Amino acid sequence: MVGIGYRKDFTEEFSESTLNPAFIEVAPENWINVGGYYKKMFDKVLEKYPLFVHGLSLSVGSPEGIDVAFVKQVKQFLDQNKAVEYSEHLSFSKCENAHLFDLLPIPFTEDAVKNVSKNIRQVQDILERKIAIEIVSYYSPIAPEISEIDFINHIVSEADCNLLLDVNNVYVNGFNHHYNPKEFIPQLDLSKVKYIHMAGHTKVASDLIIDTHGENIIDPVYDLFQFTMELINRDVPVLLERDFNIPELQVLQQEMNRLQTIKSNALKQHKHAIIT
Amino acid sequence: MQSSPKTFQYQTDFANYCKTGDYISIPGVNEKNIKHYRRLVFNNIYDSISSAYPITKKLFGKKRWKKVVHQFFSSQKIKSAQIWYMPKEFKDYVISNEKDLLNKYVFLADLLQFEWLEIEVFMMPDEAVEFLTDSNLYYINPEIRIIGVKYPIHLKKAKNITKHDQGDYFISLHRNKETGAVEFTNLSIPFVDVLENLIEKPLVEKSILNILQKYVDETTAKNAFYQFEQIAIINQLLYKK
Repeated sequence: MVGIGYRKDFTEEFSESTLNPAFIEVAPENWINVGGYYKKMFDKVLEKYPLFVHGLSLSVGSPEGIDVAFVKQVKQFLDQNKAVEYSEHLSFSKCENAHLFDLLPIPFTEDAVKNVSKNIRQVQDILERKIAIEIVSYYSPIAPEISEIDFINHIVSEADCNLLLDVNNVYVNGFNHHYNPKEFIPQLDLSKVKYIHMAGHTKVASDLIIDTHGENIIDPVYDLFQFTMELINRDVPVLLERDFNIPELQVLQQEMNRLQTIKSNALKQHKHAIIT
Repeated sequence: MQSSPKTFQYQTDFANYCKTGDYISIPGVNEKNIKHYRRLVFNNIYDSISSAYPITKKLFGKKRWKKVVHQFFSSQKIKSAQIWYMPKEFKDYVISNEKDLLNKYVFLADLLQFEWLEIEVFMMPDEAVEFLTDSNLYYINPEIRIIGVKYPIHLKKAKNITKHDQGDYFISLHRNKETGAVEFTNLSIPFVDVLENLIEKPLVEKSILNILQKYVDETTAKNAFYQFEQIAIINQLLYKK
């Protein structure tokens, strides 16, 4: 099951193209209280595809806590559109109640673990469902006191939430912060992985990759995806993200096909290994 | 329980850096790399505001535009969780705070309001027309905003508007249900009166003519309404069952 991020940018092409995702994903922030042309097109797409919802502004890392009124709007959106899954980022995008509209890294500290876990639990209580939380890419740590892996694992455990594993983000972080992604991923609680994201990135300096979602997925990230699927050994939904520099939709279909093939082969191989 | 004051402070310092570009040392930070956060955060804000106000941006020129976007973002706390709605806060900020710009461009508040309403009407939630049994009733498109402005920002190019153009102008912006496109109509005061009454409830022709006759004689009222009606029905400003 491989889906694609649905963007207003390719609304028209989407309904007429041969693109054949298993599901679509949108950010609720782009659709809550929206009507008119885009809503009409979105409703048409929803008749055809299941909806996964991936938020941007929840800001579970906000020191001041979550915006309850906004979470209630999200709940209404999820319910109205029969969303299969809701995920968000392990980051903060709001501070002192001011939105910044970007995914800023949370300090890797024990008290941030407590704050974030409390925020996620509160969100889950309001939504009456578990959310999957995404490991974000980051370009600098902020006042870290514990390791990244401990930070993530403690939150997933304390918040009792699921994990969205963005394989490209782990690759980007491994490159930027000099660790081996293939040593990092097995340390996660993979039983909690409910959803996977795959994307391209941009190398802006010899020692820095920015997670742009603006390029095709590169081979080493496909390789890491295969490695991950073999470890997870379950059919987890996978999303292809492409936010900028959108190519012909045929190219996106080819990427989705490749992801599906890798996933099928990884699961088949494992099944074969068990039988033999 | 909230984050400890120390963690809170580091997050606040980092967020403030992204907003203002002014960096206060934070332990463990890669100072070279965090410049990308400031760049990405600001560009995102800049692009969203720029696409919301293309006419104002062109009027200001790149340098002044960037400066005012920076002033807004660095000094304000953006409340909206939805980035498409954020430019409304920019408009409100400029109208309340940028006195020099408002003096230089006397029509600026009107222009910003007009540009914002185009977005608001384009994006607003769908509202259905509730038709009653009487087939003689006229209904207004509920996806509409009506504004009064002091300068003809909808009739003249911004750079050509001067103090001498000051007057009372009225504009309706509505969304065409078929195409989703926003269309604006220049309105005279009598037709503002008509539309405001239609917002309250649907009206038959006689009631509409009665409103117009508060301003003009019967023949003029009839002629004006028939002309208005033809266009308003075609572009879906008005409906008739």
